[in-house]
Amino acid sequence: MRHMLQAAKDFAPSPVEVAVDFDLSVQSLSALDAAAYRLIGTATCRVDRVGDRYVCRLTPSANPQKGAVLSSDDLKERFLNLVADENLRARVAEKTDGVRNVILALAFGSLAATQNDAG
Amino acid sequence: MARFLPPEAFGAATEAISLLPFNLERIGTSQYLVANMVGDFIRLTEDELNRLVDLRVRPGDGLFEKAYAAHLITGTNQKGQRQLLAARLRSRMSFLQQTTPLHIFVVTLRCEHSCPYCQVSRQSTDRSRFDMSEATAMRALDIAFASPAARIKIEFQGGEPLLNFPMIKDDCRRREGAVRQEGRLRHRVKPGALGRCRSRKANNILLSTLETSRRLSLSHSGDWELGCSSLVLSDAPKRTG
Repeated sequence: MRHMLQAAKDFAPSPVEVAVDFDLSVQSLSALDAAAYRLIGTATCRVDRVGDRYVCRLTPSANPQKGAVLSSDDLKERFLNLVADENLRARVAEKTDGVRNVILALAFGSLAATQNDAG
Repeated sequence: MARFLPPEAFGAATEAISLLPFNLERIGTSQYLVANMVGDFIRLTEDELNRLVDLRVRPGDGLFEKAYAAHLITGTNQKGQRQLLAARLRSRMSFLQQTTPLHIFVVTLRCEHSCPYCQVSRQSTDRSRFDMSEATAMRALDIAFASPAARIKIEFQGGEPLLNFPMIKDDCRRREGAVRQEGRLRHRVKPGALGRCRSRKANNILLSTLETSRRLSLSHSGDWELGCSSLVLSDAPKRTG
Protein backbone atom coordinates (compact mmCIF):
# COMPACT_ATOMS: atom_id res chain seq x y z
CA MET A 1 0.00 0.00 0.00
CA ARG A 2 1.33 3.38 -0.95
CA HIS A 3 1.22 5.95 1.82
CA MET A 4 0.14 9.49 1.18
CA LEU A 5 2.73 12.17 1.78
CA GLN A 6 2.74 13.58 5.27
CA ALA A 7 2.22 17.11 4.03
CA ALA A 8 -0.89 16.08 2.14
CA LYS A 9 -2.86 14.61 5.05
CA ASP A 10 -4.55 17.85 5.97
CA PHE A 11 -6.31 18.25 2.65
CA ALA A 12 -9.44 20.01 3.91
CA PRO A 13 -8.81 23.75 3.95
CA SER A 14 -9.27 25.74 7.13
CA PRO A 15 -12.00 28.41 7.05
CA VAL A 16 -9.53 31.12 6.06
CA GLU A 17 -7.59 28.98 3.65
CA VAL A 18 -8.13 28.60 -0.08
CA ALA A 19 -7.03 25.42 -1.81
CA VAL A 20 -6.32 25.36 -5.53
CA ASP A 21 -5.10 22.24 -7.24
CA PHE A 22 -3.39 21.61 -10.57
CA ASP A 23 -2.70 18.55 -12.67
CA LEU A 24 1.06 18.08 -12.42
CA SER A 25 1.20 16.65 -15.94
CA VAL A 26 0.30 20.06 -17.38
CA GLN A 27 1.40 22.50 -14.70
CA SER A 28 5.04 23.15 -13.80
CA LEU A 29 6.10 23.48 -10.19
CA SER A 30 8.41 26.39 -11.04
CA ALA A 31 5.46 28.49 -12.24
CA LEU A 32 3.60 27.75 -9.00
CA ASP A 33 6.69 28.71 -7.00
CA ALA A 34 7.04 31.96 -8.90
CA ALA A 35 3.37 32.79 -8.41
CA ALA A 36 3.64 31.98 -4.71
CA TYR A 37 6.64 34.30 -4.45
CA ARG A 38 4.65 37.14 -5.98
CA LEU A 39 1.95 36.64 -3.36
CA ILE A 40 4.35 37.51 -0.54
CA GLY A 41 2.92 40.35 1.47
CA THR A 42 -0.60 39.48 0.37
CA ALA A 43 -0.87 35.83 1.28
CA THR A 44 1.18 32.75 1.97
CA CYS A 45 1.12 29.72 -0.27
CA ARG A 46 2.05 26.15 0.57
CA VAL A 47 2.44 23.76 -2.32
CA ASP A 48 2.01 20.04 -1.70
CA ARG A 49 2.09 17.18 -4.12
CA VAL A 50 -0.89 14.90 -3.64
CA GLY A 51 -0.96 12.00 -6.04
CA ASP A 52 -0.93 13.42 -9.54
CA ARG A 53 -1.86 16.93 -8.44
CA TYR A 54 -0.23 19.97 -6.91
CA VAL A 55 -2.35 21.41 -4.12
CA CYS A 56 -1.71 25.06 -3.32
CA ARG A 57 -3.04 26.24 0.03
CA LEU A 58 -3.40 30.00 0.16
CA THR A 59 -3.76 31.89 3.42
CA PRO A 60 -4.39 35.64 3.30
CA SER A 61 -1.99 37.77 5.33
CA ALA A 62 -3.62 39.25 8.41
CA ASN A 63 -1.73 42.50 7.81
CA PRO A 64 -1.10 42.78 4.07
CA GLN A 65 1.70 45.09 3.00
CA LYS A 66 -0.53 46.70 0.41
CA GLY A 67 -4.29 47.01 0.20
CA ALA A 68 -6.95 45.29 2.23
CA VAL A 69 -7.16 41.64 3.20
CA LEU A 70 -8.33 39.71 0.16
CA SER A 71 -11.46 37.64 0.22
CA SER A 72 -11.17 33.96 -0.66
CA ASP A 73 -12.53 34.51 -4.15
CA ASP A 74 -10.24 37.48 -4.82
CA LEU A 75 -7.22 35.59 -3.51
CA LYS A 76 -7.98 32.61 -5.70
CA GLU A 77 -8.43 34.84 -8.74
CA ARG A 78 -5.17 36.68 -8.00
CA PHE A 79 -3.27 33.43 -7.67
CA LEU A 80 -4.72 31.93 -10.83
CA ASN A 81 -3.83 35.10 -12.74
CA LEU A 82 -0.29 34.94 -11.40
CA VAL A 83 0.05 31.31 -12.40
CA ALA A 84 -1.33 32.07 -15.86
CA ASP A 85 1.17 34.90 -16.26
CA GLU A 86 4.03 32.65 -15.18
CA ASN A 87 2.96 30.01 -17.65
CA LEU A 88 2.89 32.64 -20.37
CA ARG A 89 6.39 33.82 -19.41
CA ALA A 90 7.59 30.23 -19.63
CA ARG A 91 6.07 29.89 -23.10
CA VAL A 92 7.73 33.09 -24.29
CA ALA A 93 11.06 32.01 -22.80
CA GLU A 94 10.83 28.64 -24.47
CA LYS A 95 10.11 30.23 -27.85
CA THR A 96 12.82 32.86 -27.57
CA ASP A 97 15.69 31.16 -25.76
CA GLY A 98 17.61 30.58 -28.97
CA VAL A 99 17.42 34.13 -30.25
CA ARG A 100 18.14 35.46 -26.77
CA ASN A 101 21.41 33.55 -26.77
CA VAL A 102 22.25 34.88 -30.23
CA ILE A 103 21.63 38.46 -29.09
CA LEU A 104 23.69 37.97 -25.93
CA ALA A 105 26.50 36.46 -27.98
CA LEU A 106 26.38 39.39 -30.38
CA ALA A 107 26.47 41.80 -27.46
CA PHE A 108 29.05 40.22 -25.20
CA GLY A 109 30.52 37.07 -26.70
CA SER A 110 33.28 36.45 -29.17
CA LEU A 111 30.82 37.39 -31.91
CA ALA A 112 30.79 40.94 -30.55
CA ALA A 113 34.20 41.66 -32.01
CA THR A 114 33.28 40.45 -35.45
CA GLN A 115 29.66 41.45 -35.71
CA ASN A 116 30.47 44.35 -38.00
CA ASP A 117 31.49 41.80 -40.55
CA ALA A 118 28.15 40.03 -40.31
CA GLY A 119 25.87 40.47 -43.25
CA MET B 1 -1.87 54.20 -67.56
CA ALA B 2 0.44 53.18 -64.70
CA ARG B 3 -1.22 52.52 -61.36
CA PHE B 4 0.08 51.88 -57.89
CA LEU B 5 -0.10 48.30 -56.74
CA PRO B 6 -2.56 47.58 -53.93
CA PRO B 7 -1.22 48.11 -50.37
CA GLU B 8 -0.92 44.36 -49.78
CA ALA B 9 1.77 44.19 -52.43
CA PHE B 10 4.08 46.30 -50.27
CA GLY B 11 3.76 44.20 -47.16
CA ALA B 12 6.01 41.41 -45.98
CA ALA B 13 3.15 39.02 -45.37
CA THR B 14 4.89 36.12 -46.96
CA GLU B 15 7.92 36.29 -44.65
CA ALA B 16 7.87 34.15 -41.57
CA ILE B 17 8.03 36.08 -38.33
CA SER B 18 9.38 35.04 -34.98
CA LEU B 19 9.31 36.33 -31.44
CA LEU B 20 12.12 38.28 -29.85
CA PRO B 21 12.69 37.90 -26.10
CA PHE B 22 10.46 40.04 -23.91
CA ASN B 23 9.07 40.25 -20.43
CA LEU B 24 5.54 41.00 -19.36
CA GLU B 25 3.78 42.34 -16.32
CA ARG B 26 0.06 42.51 -15.63
CA ILE B 27 -0.92 46.10 -14.89
CA GLY B 28 -4.68 45.78 -14.55
CA THR B 29 -7.64 43.86 -15.75
CA SER B 30 -6.64 42.38 -19.09
CA GLN B 31 -3.81 44.92 -19.50
CA TYR B 32 -0.12 44.12 -19.75
CA LEU B 33 3.13 46.02 -19.88
CA VAL B 34 5.40 44.25 -22.35
CA ALA B 35 9.10 45.17 -22.38
CA ASN B 36 11.82 44.08 -24.79
CA MET B 37 15.40 43.12 -23.87
CA VAL B 38 16.56 46.71 -23.51
CA GLY B 39 13.57 48.01 -21.59
CA ASP B 40 11.42 49.59 -24.31
CA PHE B 41 7.84 48.83 -23.45
CA ILE B 42 4.33 49.00 -24.83
CA ARG B 43 0.92 48.32 -23.36
CA LEU B 44 -1.10 45.44 -24.75
CA THR B 45 -4.45 43.96 -23.96
CA GLU B 46 -4.62 40.33 -22.94
CA ASP B 47 -6.03 39.44 -26.34
CA GLU B 48 -3.23 41.29 -28.14
CA LEU B 49 -0.62 39.60 -25.99
CA ASN B 50 -2.01 36.16 -26.73
CA ARG B 51 -2.11 36.95 -30.45
CA LEU B 52 1.48 38.11 -30.26
CA VAL B 53 2.75 35.01 -28.46
CA ASP B 54 0.90 32.79 -30.92
CA LEU B 55 2.24 34.94 -33.78
CA ARG B 56 -1.27 35.59 -35.04
CA VAL B 57 -0.22 38.98 -36.38
CA ARG B 58 0.11 40.22 -39.92
CA PRO B 59 1.37 43.43 -41.47
CA GLY B 60 -1.37 45.99 -41.57
CA ASP B 61 -3.30 44.77 -38.56
CA GLY B 62 -1.83 47.41 -36.25
CA LEU B 63 -0.49 44.97 -33.70
CA PHE B 64 2.22 43.79 -36.08
CA GLU B 65 3.52 47.32 -36.54
CA LYS B 66 3.29 48.01 -32.81
CA ALA B 67 5.19 44.86 -31.88
CA TYR B 68 7.73 45.27 -34.67
CA ALA B 69 8.54 48.84 -33.65
CA ALA B 70 9.00 47.69 -30.05
CA HIS B 71 11.38 44.89 -31.13
CA LEU B 72 9.07 42.14 -29.92
CA ILE B 73 8.91 40.36 -33.28
CA THR B 74 11.17 40.18 -36.28
CA GLY B 75 11.36 38.56 -39.65
CA THR B 76 12.86 35.13 -39.16
CA ASN B 77 15.57 35.84 -41.72
CA GLN B 78 16.24 39.41 -40.67
CA LYS B 79 19.45 40.14 -38.81
CA GLY B 80 19.03 43.85 -38.33
CA GLN B 81 16.84 43.80 -35.23
CA ARG B 82 18.96 41.22 -33.47
CA GLN B 83 22.07 43.28 -34.16
CA LEU B 84 20.34 46.47 -33.05
CA LEU B 85 19.20 44.89 -29.79
CA ALA B 86 22.70 43.51 -29.21
CA ALA B 87 24.29 46.91 -29.82
CA ARG B 88 21.88 48.63 -27.45
CA LEU B 89 22.34 45.92 -24.84
CA ARG B 90 26.10 46.22 -25.09
CA SER B 91 25.92 50.00 -24.62
CA ARG B 92 23.53 49.70 -21.73
CA MET B 93 25.66 47.14 -19.95
CA SER B 94 29.02 48.67 -20.84
CA PHE B 95 29.73 49.20 -17.16
CA LEU B 96 30.19 45.43 -16.88
CA GLN B 97 33.30 45.57 -19.02
CA GLN B 98 35.26 47.46 -16.41
CA THR B 99 35.39 47.11 -12.68
CA THR B 100 33.78 49.93 -10.83
CA PRO B 101 35.86 53.06 -10.25
CA LEU B 102 33.64 54.08 -7.32
CA HIS B 103 34.15 52.64 -3.85
CA ILE B 104 31.85 53.80 -1.08
CA PHE B 105 33.15 53.63 2.48
CA VAL B 106 30.55 53.98 5.21
CA VAL B 107 32.99 55.12 7.87
CA THR B 108 30.37 55.52 10.57
CA LEU B 109 26.68 54.99 11.15
CA ARG B 110 26.62 57.73 13.74
CA CYS B 111 24.89 61.01 13.04
CA GLU B 112 23.91 63.82 15.33
CA HIS B 113 20.90 64.85 13.26
CA SER B 114 17.45 63.50 12.48
CA CYS B 115 16.78 65.06 9.11
CA PRO B 116 13.29 64.12 7.95
CA TYR B 117 14.35 63.50 4.34
CA CYS B 118 17.21 61.18 5.18
CA GLN B 119 16.74 57.48 4.48
CA VAL B 120 19.96 56.32 6.13
CA SER B 121 19.83 54.44 9.38
CA ARG B 122 21.27 56.44 12.24
CA GLN B 123 23.01 55.66 15.50
CA SER B 124 23.94 58.25 18.05
CA THR B 125 26.32 56.62 20.43
CA ASP B 126 28.84 53.83 20.85
CA ARG B 127 31.67 54.82 18.61
CA SER B 128 33.29 51.41 18.87
CA ARG B 129 30.25 49.63 17.48
CA PHE B 130 29.22 52.00 14.74
CA ASP B 131 32.50 53.37 13.38
CA MET B 132 34.49 51.49 10.76
CA SER B 133 37.53 49.90 12.33
CA GLU B 134 41.01 50.64 11.06
CA ALA B 135 41.49 47.01 10.05
CA THR B 136 38.30 47.09 8.00
CA ALA B 137 39.29 50.36 6.40
CA MET B 138 42.72 49.08 5.42
CA ARG B 139 41.24 45.90 3.97
CA ALA B 140 38.66 47.91 2.05
CA LEU B 141 41.35 50.17 0.66
CA ASP B 142 43.35 47.15 -0.47
CA ILE B 143 40.31 45.91 -2.36
CA ALA B 144 39.67 49.31 -3.89
CA PHE B 145 43.24 49.67 -5.07
CA ALA B 146 43.27 46.18 -6.49
CA SER B 147 40.85 47.52 -9.09
CA PRO B 148 42.40 47.94 -12.53
CA ALA B 149 40.16 50.96 -13.17
CA ALA B 150 41.94 53.92 -14.73
CA ARG B 151 40.54 56.22 -12.07
CA ILE B 152 39.48 55.34 -8.57
CA LYS B 153 37.02 57.37 -6.59
CA ILE B 154 36.57 56.75 -2.90
CA GLU B 155 33.46 58.17 -1.37
CA PHE B 156 33.10 58.46 2.39
CA GLN B 157 29.54 58.18 3.58
CA GLY B 158 27.62 57.64 6.79
CA GLY B 159 25.85 58.43 8.98
CA GLU B 160 27.71 61.66 9.12
CA PRO B 161 31.14 60.67 7.78
CA LEU B 162 32.74 63.75 9.28
CA LEU B 163 32.16 62.30 12.75
CA ASN B 164 34.87 59.81 11.88
CA PHE B 165 37.05 62.35 10.18
CA PRO B 166 40.32 61.06 11.65
CA MET B 167 39.83 57.87 9.71
CA ILE B 168 39.11 59.76 6.50
CA LYS B 169 42.28 61.80 6.96
CA ASP B 170 44.23 58.67 7.78
CA ASP B 171 42.90 56.83 4.73
CA CYS B 172 43.73 59.71 2.46
CA ARG B 173 47.19 60.21 3.91
CA ARG B 174 48.21 56.55 3.90
CA ARG B 175 47.08 55.71 0.43
CA GLU B 176 47.25 58.92 -1.48
CA GLY B 177 51.03 58.93 -1.50
CA ALA B 178 51.16 55.39 -2.76
CA VAL B 179 49.04 56.08 -5.79
CA ARG B 180 49.73 59.73 -6.40
CA GLN B 181 52.09 58.90 -9.23
CA GLU B 182 49.41 56.90 -10.94
CA GLY B 183 47.14 59.92 -10.80
CA ARG B 184 44.04 57.81 -10.48
CA LEU B 185 42.79 58.65 -7.00
CA ARG B 186 39.99 60.98 -6.08
CA HIS B 187 38.33 61.28 -2.70
CA ARG B 188 34.88 62.57 -2.06
CA VAL B 189 33.14 63.21 1.23
CA LYS B 190 29.39 63.07 1.27
CA PRO B 191 28.09 64.79 4.39
CA GLY B 192 24.98 63.25 5.77
CA ALA B 193 23.17 66.44 6.57
CA LEU B 194 22.34 69.67 4.82
CA GLY B 195 24.70 72.49 5.74
CA ARG B 196 21.88 74.28 7.45
CA CYS B 197 21.77 71.79 10.29
CA ARG B 198 25.37 70.64 10.22
CA SER B 199 27.25 71.15 13.45
CA ARG B 200 29.87 73.85 13.86
CA LYS B 201 32.50 71.17 14.35
CA ALA B 202 31.60 69.50 11.07
CA ASN B 203 31.56 72.87 9.33
CA ASN B 204 35.05 73.61 10.57
CA ILE B 205 36.27 70.25 9.32
CA LEU B 206 34.76 70.87 5.92
CA LEU B 207 36.16 74.36 5.78
CA SER B 208 39.71 73.29 6.53
CA THR B 209 39.45 70.32 4.21
CA LEU B 210 38.21 72.29 1.26
CA GLU B 211 40.90 74.90 1.74
CA THR B 212 43.79 72.46 2.00
CA SER B 213 43.01 69.54 -0.25
CA ARG B 214 42.77 69.54 -3.97
CA ARG B 215 42.02 65.87 -4.01
CA LEU B 216 38.98 65.95 -1.80
CA SER B 217 35.65 67.10 -3.15
CA LEU B 218 32.38 67.69 -1.40
CA SER B 219 29.29 65.94 -2.64
CA HIS B 220 26.33 67.93 -1.50
CA SER B 221 22.65 67.09 -1.48
CA GLY B 222 20.07 69.82 -1.18
CA ASP B 223 20.34 73.48 -1.98
CA TRP B 224 23.95 74.50 -2.66
CA GLU B 225 23.69 78.14 -1.62
CA LEU B 226 21.82 77.19 1.54
CA GLY B 227 24.51 74.70 2.43
CA CYS B 228 27.33 77.13 1.72
CA SER B 229 25.69 79.88 3.74
CA SER B 230 25.93 77.77 6.84
CA LEU B 231 29.55 76.86 6.17
CA VAL B 232 30.39 80.43 7.25
CA LEU B 233 32.81 80.76 4.39
CA SER B 234 33.88 84.16 3.22
CA ASP B 235 34.01 82.81 -0.31
CA ALA B 236 31.76 79.87 -1.06
CA PRO B 237 33.45 77.00 -2.88
CA LYS B 238 32.84 76.98 -6.59
CA ARG B 239 30.32 74.47 -7.67
CA THR B 240 31.84 71.98 -10.03
CA GLY B 241 29.02 69.58 -10.57
